[in-house]
Amino acid sequence: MTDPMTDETAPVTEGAMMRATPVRHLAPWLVGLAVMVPLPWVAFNDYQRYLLDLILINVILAVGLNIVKGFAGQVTVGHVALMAIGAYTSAVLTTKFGAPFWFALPGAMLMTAVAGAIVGIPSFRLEGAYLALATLGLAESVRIFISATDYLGASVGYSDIPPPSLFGMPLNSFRSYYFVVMPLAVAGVYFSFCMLRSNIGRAFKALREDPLAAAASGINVRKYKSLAFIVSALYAGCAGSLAAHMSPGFLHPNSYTLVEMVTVLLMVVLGGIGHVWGGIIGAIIVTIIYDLTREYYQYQLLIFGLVIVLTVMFMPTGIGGIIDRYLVNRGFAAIRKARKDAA
Amino acid sequence: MTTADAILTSADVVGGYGTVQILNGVTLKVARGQIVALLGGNGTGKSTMLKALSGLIKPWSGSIVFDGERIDGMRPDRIVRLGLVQVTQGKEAYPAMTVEENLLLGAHVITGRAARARGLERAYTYFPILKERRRQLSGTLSGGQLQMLCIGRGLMSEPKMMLLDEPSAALAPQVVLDIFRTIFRICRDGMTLLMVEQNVRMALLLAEYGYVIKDGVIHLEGPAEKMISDDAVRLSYLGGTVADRDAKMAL
Repeated sequence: MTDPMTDETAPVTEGAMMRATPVRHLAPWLVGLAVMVPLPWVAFNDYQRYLLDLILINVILAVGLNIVKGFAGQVTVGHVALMAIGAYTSAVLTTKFGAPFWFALPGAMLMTAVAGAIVGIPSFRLEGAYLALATLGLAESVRIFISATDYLGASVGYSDIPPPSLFGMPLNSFRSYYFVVMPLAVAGVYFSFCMLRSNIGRAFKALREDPLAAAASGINVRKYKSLAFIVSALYAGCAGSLAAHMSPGFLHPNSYTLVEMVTVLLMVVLGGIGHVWGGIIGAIIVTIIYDLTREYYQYQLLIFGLVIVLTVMFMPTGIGGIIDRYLVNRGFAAIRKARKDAA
Repeated sequence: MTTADAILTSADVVGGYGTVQILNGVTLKVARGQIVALLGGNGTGKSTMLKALSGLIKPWSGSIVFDGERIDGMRPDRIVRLGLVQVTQGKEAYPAMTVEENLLLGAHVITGRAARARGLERAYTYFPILKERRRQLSGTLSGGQLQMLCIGRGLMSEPKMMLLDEPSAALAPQVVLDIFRTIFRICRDGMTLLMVEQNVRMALLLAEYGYVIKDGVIHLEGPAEKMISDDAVRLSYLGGTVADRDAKMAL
């Protein structure tokens, strides 16, 4: 007779699922990597390959945002600005300083991490809506700064950003670029899981649930808030740099407006705040819809905003919540079956 | 009690929230290996004093010395590293995390997987029920189990001394007895404990020394056996006498 409370098949959540040592869990990730290799040949045309790259970049962005927003519970809106900083840093490093992409990418991530640490400073004192407003303000000032700076192409845009090259071969097609983006995305997701189940991940979650009790447990609240912002900024910087070097190698400050902020927010909210797989699914769905509705740009904010409100009202745990419920139900079903078999 | 064997001393601690002064100069001592009870009615500053000791609020003046180091005004995480940890009330467990995750969170200041695993084993020997429930979300635990979880979480940081904030709050008498028995075992194994309690009789039966706080100052103090028979304490906080004897036998 199995006791539902102690049985090994008892309901598990995403956090509990991933608990064994990282090495033992590396195998499924390598399989996942292998499965993703032929995807650009499965895609019918270049548009789909472009979409594939875009989705993966947004997955990196969403997974990163999930760390600060979902794991650590800090409401930040201006994540897109960090992406902009990453993109422009990478662009400047390659075009003005002649650095190869492989140096520009970590350079951009480093720069964004510094910016992330600065964005994180208001979080020491502000919470919830106030923090959201502060980050919104910071994000808008980044965009306006870019629009007003001739060095960064101002409102004309920044063009001729070179694609990365490998052994002298430029990776300028969407297919070849996929093999730059995809391993980074998989590594990013894997790293985020490692983080979630580590000491750091637990500290983040404690911050989210109750900062005071977290402090009483010996967690340096400011340090971990900063760390959440910095790690999440690293993801944003990586996504930004990848977006900059993707064909046609053109950046414009209008890609980092309020609409994009809401879009990125929607990926995480729809996917389920704090749920890694949910966030990934959210990123996939929202990227596709965002790209399909590009012609109706003026209505996007309205639609996406509405979807956020509806999701929060009627499906607050998002897609991730549905996944977790399914896992729980399956766990219970397994127990029932075990009981039946025993009887 | 002399200062030499005191692990924690506070002198004239004044503090409060914002501009509201709650503590008007609290002076107390806790000897190594002792259980000390801090008693008092609602709103007298018991919990505020605990927060001042654990660094969750900064005292305005006065000094707190723990294990030979001044800790007043120190960051809470530093204080935990020194070996003084506050056990919050049971309702402050993290409901969205599993029992084991909650416990591991307490081991945040402990480095090394093996050391953490040892800590888990220790917590599970004191509270076997937590081992059974280790994969459950702590939001699904009963009130008593949550309190056990919080004490277990405190133990995980391998402290020299624990501050307990009303371990009996909102629990059935039988459950309180269970928890107090375990608290006694933990103390016998070498822990020093300062506990804030509203359940005065039970607290004085368990503790060796007691302080009564009133209007933010220590109003009365003395060895627990003396206090329990003290008329002033009896009048203010205790009811009958038969229940005393019964509870003592049970412990």
